[in-house]
Amino acid sequence: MPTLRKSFTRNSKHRSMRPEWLLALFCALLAVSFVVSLASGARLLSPVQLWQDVMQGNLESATWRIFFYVRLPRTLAGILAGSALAAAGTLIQAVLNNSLASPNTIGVNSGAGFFTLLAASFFPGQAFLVPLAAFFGALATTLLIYLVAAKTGASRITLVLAGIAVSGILSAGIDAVTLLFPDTAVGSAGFMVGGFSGVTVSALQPAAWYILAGLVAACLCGYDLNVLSLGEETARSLGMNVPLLRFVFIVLASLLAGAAVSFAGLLGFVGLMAPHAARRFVGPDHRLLLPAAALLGASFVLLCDSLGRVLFAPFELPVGIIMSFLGGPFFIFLLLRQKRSRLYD
Amino acid sequence: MIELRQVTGGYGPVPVLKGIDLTIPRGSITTLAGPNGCGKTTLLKIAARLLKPSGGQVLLDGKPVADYGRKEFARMVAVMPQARNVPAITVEGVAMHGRFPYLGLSRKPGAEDHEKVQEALEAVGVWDLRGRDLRGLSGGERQKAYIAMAVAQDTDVIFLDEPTTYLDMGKQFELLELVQKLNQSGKTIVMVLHDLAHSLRFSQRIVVMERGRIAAAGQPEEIFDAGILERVFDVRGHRDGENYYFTHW
Repeated sequence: MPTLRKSFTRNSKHRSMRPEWLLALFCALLAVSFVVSLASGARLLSPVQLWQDVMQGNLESATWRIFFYVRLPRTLAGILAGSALAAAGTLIQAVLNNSLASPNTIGVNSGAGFFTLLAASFFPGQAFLVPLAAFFGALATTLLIYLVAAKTGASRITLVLAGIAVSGILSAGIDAVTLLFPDTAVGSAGFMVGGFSGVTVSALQPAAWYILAGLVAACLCGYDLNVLSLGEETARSLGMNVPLLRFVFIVLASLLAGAAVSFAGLLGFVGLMAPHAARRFVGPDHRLLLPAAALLGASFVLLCDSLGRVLFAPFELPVGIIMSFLGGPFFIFLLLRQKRSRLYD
Repeated sequence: MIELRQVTGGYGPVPVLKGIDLTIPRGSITTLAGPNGCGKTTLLKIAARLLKPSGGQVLLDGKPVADYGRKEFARMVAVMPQARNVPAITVEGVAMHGRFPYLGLSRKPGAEDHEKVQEALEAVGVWDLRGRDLRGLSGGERQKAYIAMAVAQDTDVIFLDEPTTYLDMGKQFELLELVQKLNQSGKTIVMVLHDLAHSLRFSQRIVVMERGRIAAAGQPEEIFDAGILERVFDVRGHRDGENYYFTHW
C-alpha cells in the first residue's frame, strides 16, 4: 500500500498543472528541439547566416543547400518518426493492456522492417509501395501478438518474451534479405539500428501522409480508449463494439509504426519511453496522453538525433544507437518495477 | 421483463447451461444461487448479452436481445462484471463512463450527462470520493464506484455479478442495502451471490441452479421451506426472523 500511495501523490503533483498548459509546454519543447535539430551537425548552421543569404538573394549558398536538402528533411523525419512511434506505442499499450508493450518490444517494428526490405528488394523503385508493405508487416505482427495474448491469456512478461521470439524470427528474415539482395537501397546497416542519415523528401512524402492521418485518427480515439481501459466486458456492457474498435486501434498503430519504420528503420524504444513519460505528466486520460506522447516522442527523437550528430562530429551516430543506450536501461527499470508492483495489478 | 427460453450455452464445446427457462419480472431483486460451476455467471452473461447462447432465446420486453442496437441495449441494461479493471481514473470518471451509450460521435458529455452522474454519485454515496483515484480506494469503495457507473447508465435493469466478493461483513451489508435502495427507486436487479443467507435476506426471488439447470425458482421463504437449498448445497438451514444461517449437517 505505501508504494501505491507514493505513486498516487507523485502523479497528482505533476498533474496539478492544467493539462492544456502541459500540452502547450510540450509544443514549446518540440519547437526548441526543432530549431536545435536544424542547427546542429557537423557544420553548425546559424540563423544569421541563413538570413544574410536570403537578403543577398543567394539561395544556392552552401548553408542554404545544407539546410534545405539535409537538415530540413532529416528534422521532419525525426518529428514524423518520433510522434508516430510514440502514438503507436500508446495505442498498443492500451489495446494489450500491457505497459511493457511497444512497437519494438513486441516485434512490430521488425515485422514492418522485414516487409519493407522485401518490398524494396522485389519491387525496387516503387517508393509508394514501401510504407504500404511496412504497414502490412506491422499489422501482421501486431495481430499475431494480440491473438497470442487473447487466446492464452498470457501475462505481460510472457507477451514480451513472445515478442522477442517473433522479433528474432523476423530479424533473421531481415538478415537473409540483406545478404541475398545486398544492393537494396534501404538494406544498409543503418536500417537495422534506425536513423535518418539517408532520408530524402521523396522517401518521406508518402509515409508523411500515412502518419499525419494516423495521428489525427488516433487523437480522435482517446475517449473510446479510456472506456476500453475499464476492461473488455465493462466496455461491451456500455454498448461499445469492442472487437471492431480493437481492430481499428491495431490498424492505426500498425499504420503509424509501419510508416515510421519505412523510412527510419528499426528505431527502438521511443514507442516505449514516450507513452510512459507522457503518462507521468498528464495522467492516464488518452485524450491528453496521445497528443502528449506524440509531442514528447518527436522532441525526444530530434534531441537524440542532434546529439548523435554533434557527439563525435564530423562522424555521426545513428539516432537508433543513442536511443537504445537510453531505452535499454529504461526498459530494465520498467521490468524491475513491474515485479515490485505486481501485487497491485 | 427478461425471458429466457430453452437457453443453452457456455464457453467450450460442452454447454454449461442445459436448457434454461426463466422469467425475470420487472421491479424485483432476483438472485441466482447455486454451487460453484453450476452456471450462474454464464446465465447472467447470456441474459446481459455479454455471451451468445448456443441455443434458445433471450427476450427483453418481448424482443430478442440480439435485435437491439448495441447502445440501445446499453441504455436499458447495465452490467457490473465480476472481473473489473482498476485503471488510474477518478470515481467521477468511472461514473461518467456510464454515460457512454448516450454520447454522440464527438464523445462530449452534455449538461444532462453531468446531472445524471452527480445524481448517481449521490445516490450511491460516493459524492465525497468523486475526485479520488480508483487505485487508492478500498474494495468496497471501488465496488460502489462501479455501481455508480451502472446507475449513471440510467437503465431499468442492472446485473451484478458477485458484488460482495472481497468485502468484509459490514461492507457486504452496506452494499446489499444500497442494492435494495436502487430497487426501491424502480430498478430491476439481477445478481449472482455466493452467500445463501444474503440471498434469502435481500431478494424477492431466488433462482437455485444445479449443474446447468434450474432446480427451483420462487420467493425466499418458499425456497427455504421446501428444503431445496439444503439438498443442493448439502447444508442445514436455520431461520431466525428475517435472518437465515446455515450449518454443516
